[in-house]
This record gives sequence, structure tokens and C-alpha cells, in this order.
Amino acid sequence: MTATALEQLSAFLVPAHKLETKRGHVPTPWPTLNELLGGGWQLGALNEVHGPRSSGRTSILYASLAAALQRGAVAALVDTESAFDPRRAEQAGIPLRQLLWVCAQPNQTFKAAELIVSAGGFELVGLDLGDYPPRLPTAGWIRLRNVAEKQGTAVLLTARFPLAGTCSAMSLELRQRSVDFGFDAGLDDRRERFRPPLVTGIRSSACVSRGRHGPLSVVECALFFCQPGSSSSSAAPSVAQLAAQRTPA
Amino acid sequence: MRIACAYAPQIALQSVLRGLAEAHEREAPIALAAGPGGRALILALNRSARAMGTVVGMTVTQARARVPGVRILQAQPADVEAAEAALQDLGLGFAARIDAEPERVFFEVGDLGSLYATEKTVAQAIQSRAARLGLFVRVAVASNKGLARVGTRMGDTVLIPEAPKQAKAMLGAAALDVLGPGEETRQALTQWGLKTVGDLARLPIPDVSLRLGAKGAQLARLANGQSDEPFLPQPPADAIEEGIDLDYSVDSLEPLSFLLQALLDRALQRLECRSLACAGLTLRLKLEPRGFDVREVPVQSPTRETSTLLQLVLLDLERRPPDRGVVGMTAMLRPARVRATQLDMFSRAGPAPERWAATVARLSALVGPEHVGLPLLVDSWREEAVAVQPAPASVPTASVRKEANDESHTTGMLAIHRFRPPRDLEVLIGPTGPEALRGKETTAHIVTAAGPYRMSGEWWAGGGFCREYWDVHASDGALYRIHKDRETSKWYLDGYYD
Repeated sequence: MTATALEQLSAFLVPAHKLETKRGHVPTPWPTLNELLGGGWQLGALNEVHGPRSSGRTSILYASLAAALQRGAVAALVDTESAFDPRRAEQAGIPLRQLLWVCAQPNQTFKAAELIVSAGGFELVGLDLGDYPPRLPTAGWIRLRNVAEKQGTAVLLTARFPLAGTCSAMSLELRQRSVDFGFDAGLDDRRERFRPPLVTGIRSSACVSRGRHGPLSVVECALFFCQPGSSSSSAAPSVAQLAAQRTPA
Repeated sequence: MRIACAYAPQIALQSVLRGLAEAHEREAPIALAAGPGGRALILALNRSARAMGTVVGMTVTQARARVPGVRILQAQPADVEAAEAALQDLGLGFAARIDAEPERVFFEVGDLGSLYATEKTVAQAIQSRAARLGLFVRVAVASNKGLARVGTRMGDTVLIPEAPKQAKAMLGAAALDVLGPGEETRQALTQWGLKTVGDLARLPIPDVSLRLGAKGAQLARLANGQSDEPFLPQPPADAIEEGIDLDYSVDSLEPLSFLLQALLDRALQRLECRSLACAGLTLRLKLEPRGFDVREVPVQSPTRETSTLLQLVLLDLERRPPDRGVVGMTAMLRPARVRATQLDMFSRAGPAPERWAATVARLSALVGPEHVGLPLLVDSWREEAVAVQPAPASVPTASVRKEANDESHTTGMLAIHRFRPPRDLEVLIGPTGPEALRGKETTAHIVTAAGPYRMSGEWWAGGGFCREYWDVHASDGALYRIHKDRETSKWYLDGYYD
């Protein structure tokens, strides 16, 4: 091809790393996490959040659904283990009357997710696969990714381990840094010796373990998930503070 | 299915009495005549006239001679039509569809349990509303139309049990007239020495059919508490009906779906000619060797898509397959205007209403209708309590919008991943509290335990609970929520904070 033809052709080409910008994102409530994700969860793609128990994946899922629903988007949650807690979800800001909730058996989960995504119009579909996610062959992941891409829906998977492999556009790994305990300041001295500790929150760090486009980042984002009603609802500390507080698992 | 029959006896007389404003006028002796003049025959009498000795079949002159003060009235066709229409309106006040015949209206009342405590209150409500319309009706409730009709001949309020054996026992002592036999059949039954419905029920049905024909067989089945008469609600005036009769019976879903697709396509094309869409579908399957299977397929939003309607019908057939082969089908489509959806320029459009309805229907077929919907907070102190409310007909949208990146919301709320039901657990208790736990989910030492937090409740409603909750940070890194049932002293794993 001549140089002129190549120049003309390149005017119609979009570089791969700019595709996500064109596609759009579903932002999370945390600006630092959005920055790490390049704007938020990618629309029209599979996004994964994985980590061990008590690393914060369910909290991130609820917060992302809450943010999407509060912006007026349509969202759904497919729950494999019937683990959804409406009280905690409402405290996280999810308007329960707008969330479509599907409790599926492990062998029905992906079919249910595919049905919802293929309906179109959903901005975010959460897929809580729990600790024992069902197996899905690669062809199934490809099909789910293609349906999400066609409908422009962000599918957010949460599981203990990364599952979707190369089919996911974004994989966020969570690690628990510490569990904070405090004491109820409302108790008086007479009950001092009887006061039990309270869980005040969990501190985690998140890093992108896999991203389709752009360089892999080793930057971690610190997150703090606070117990509702706890007095220590401080902003997330910096990574340096987390490193100083890091406790071995 | 429970069918109610409201029977307005002597509706021609009742149509005339409705026109009388004063109660004392209605209580006076009144006779309905076939026409003007003294030779006109008396067709109907009210209670007062009958008590005074007037009988049906007398001439007007004879009636006046017997009861000098009797008032002779003539029924106008318009009055009778109005009374029949009022009777149908009575049925429509309790159900969306009715099956009307002269002096009777049939309608389904099985789904009124949330409004009326018992069927007796339903019957009383029907009679009360009829009285407001100026009609006196007898009400019977039964499992099918034939028995409901029989019930209206037995008394003013008759509730026939659902089980055929119990219905047969109830009908046993009634006279044969309640079955409504023709004159010839009544004579034949009398010659056989039969007096009650129970006597007829004891005869073998094939032998009765051999001697009295199809009509006799129908009476014998009624005497046994059975009836094949289908409840065929009338379509609204603008409904579309398309049907097909098959040359042989079909008992599998796949060939049925081809036939259904063609049927629905034709019906929807007719609706499209009128710029309308389908808002509801009633499918009537003719079964082999006899009988009907009538089913209502809910359509949550008006649609013109054959594929959507076909999917909904097939889902219903998969959930409740017909118990015999199908030899004919009729689809009745209720029309409605296509609803225009107002979109917002500044937010993403949700799923189209018909796609939403089809998706919810497919999800319900996949996981069960009780597992699809909107989560609902339960008014209970039990932490694991949860309910699901059915998905609405249209896409739920927010009325208030907030920007996602609310700078004040930088800390997330800690969620909990629940186990439903809570898992059994063994807990080793030390001097300061739980020290180790072992269960199917995990086995670990406890690093830090927060608790106990005691909670009890629902003792006022029976089956209360009394628990002791702990939040424990285990050596596997997870933060679990466990509780001990103080009544059984058993430990359970409720979930983990995540």
C-alpha cells in the first residue's frame, strides 16, 4: 500500500489502548480505585475481582452496584450461593427496589447471566461466584464476553480465584492487610471490664493483576471497608501507611 | 380452579322488580304476564303472589280472580337485557373474564383468597353486590362449571368441595332435579326407580350412557362429582381468536411449538393491522379423547413479537405440560395499545419493556419464579431473613440520581457474604471465648474474637430465637460471623465479612 493510503486508513483506526476510552467505564465510589482501573469497570467487557475471604470483594461489588443504580443505571446481580444480604446492601447504598436479584444454582449461573446481559440495557451485571465457583469452559467465557461487548454491559465477576483468563478485560486482585477492632466508646466505666471488642473494618489493598491494554501496574490502591455504625470511618490510608502496618497472614 | 355460578332465578320478573323504586311495591303480589289482555298467561310470580294462591300458567283473568290485588306486569326486552347485563357486570366485578348464559354467569374465584377469608364470604359478597344491583342471586362455588350449575339448584349458597368424592357425598341426598335432566330423561330415571343423585351415582356410567346417550352419561358423571364442561370465558369484543384443529394428537413440545408459532403469527398480524399489540394471551388446548386445558399466559407488557409470546407460552407448557395429547388449539389475544416509552437523553436506556418481560420470564423458568425479583427487607430481627418480591412489569428506574464520584464517600461499607442456611460448626471455647473453629467451610484458630452479642426475639409469635453472636478473626485470614443457639447450644457459621 502507498504511504498516502496508509495515512488515510490510519485516520479510521483507533489504537487498542484507546478503545476502553471510547467504550466507557462504570466508575466505582473510590476515586483512587477508578484511577487504578483507568476510569472504572469497563463497559462491554468482563471485569474480575478476586481475592481470599475477607479481602473486600463483596464490598466492592455492592459499592459498584450502588454507584451504578444511584446514577440511574439498570443493574442486576446473579448470586450463586444465595449470599446476598439486603440489609448490608441497603447500608452500602443499593436501592433495593431497583436491583434485579437472581439466586441461581451453580449450573444455572452463567446461563442466567447470559440471559440478563443479552436482554440489553443493563449497565452493570454483578456475578457473585463465591468460594466454589462453577467451572465454565473457555467457549462459555468467550460467549459471555461477546454478549457483553455487543450489549455494552459491564459484567463484574467476584470469586476467590481469577476465572475468566484472557476473556476478562480487567482483573483486580485484593489482599487483606488488617482487620481493625475497636471498642464501643459509649460504654461507661462500670461496664469497662465487660466490654467486648467490636469489628470496625477491614483494610485491603488492590492491584490490577491483569489488564488487556496498557502496561501492568504494580501500584496498589488502599481500601478501607468500615463496619456500619462504627466510629472509625476514616479515609483510606496511603500505601506507605499500609506497608508500615502490614501484618503477616 | 374454583368456579362460582351466580344464578338469578326468574330474571324476567327480577328485571321488572328492579324498576320498582319502593320496597313495599316489590313486596306486594306481582305476576309477570306474557302479553296484554286477560288471556295472557302468567309466566312468573313473586313470593307474595305465590303465597296467595296464584300459580304459573294461569291466565291473567284467573289470577285476578284468585288474588284481586295482584299487580300484572309485562317484561320488556330492554329490561331483561339490562338485567342480564347487570348479572354479567356482577361477574366482572369479581373476575376479569366471565362465561355467561341466560340467567347465569360463571367466573373464577380461586384467586380471591387475599381479599376474602373463605369461600363463604366470597359467596356472601357476591349476593350483597347483586342486591345493590337490584338482583337476587343464588351462588354456588365448585371445581367446575357443571357442578357450580348444579349447586345453584340446591340452595341459595352452596359450596361444593373440590375433591370428587366429597362432592359426590354432598350431592348424594339431593333430588335428581338438581342435575337438570330433560323431561324424557327424568321419566326414564323415575321408571328405573331412582329418586336421588346418590342413586344415579351408584350406577355404572357406561351402562347409563348406553341407555340414555351422551346426556345421560353427562348426568351420571355429574352425580359422581365430575364434569367435563369447560369454563370458556367470553372474549372481549375486540379480542382476536385464532384456532387450529389437528388431524392427530400431538403430545410433545417440539411439534406443538411449530404449530403455535404459526397460530401466534397470524393473530399478531391481525393485531398489527389495527396498530395494536398483545397484552394478554389465553390458550385453550383441546385434549384427546375429550376435555380442555385452558391456561392464562401472563404478558407483562404489550408486545407484537411472535418470538416473545411463543417463548412465554412454551415456558408455561414446560412448567405445566398437558396431561394428554393435544388435538386442537385456540389462542385468544387481548389487544392493547403499544406503550410508548419516554427515554431520557442523559441516561442510558434500560431494556425494552417486552425484552424485560421476556427476560424475567426466562429467568423464572430457569431458576424458579421465587428466585427472581427485587430483594426485600423482612421485618424481622433474624439476620439471615430475606425475601424476594416479584419483578415489576416495567424496568425499575431511579427517581433520584446522584453522581457516582461523591467525594465524601471514600470509605466503603463492609459487606457480609452469608451462608444460607447457616452452616454447622464446632467451636472450642477457652477462658476468654472461642479459641478455634471447625466446620465444612474452614478449620482454623481464632486470633481475635469480638463478642458475645446476644439477640433474641419473635418469642411472641411462637418459634422464637435466642442467639449469641461473635465476630471472629481466624488464622486463615477470614473474619467470620458465628452464633451459638442458646436453646440448643449448637454453633453455626453465618458467613464472613468481605
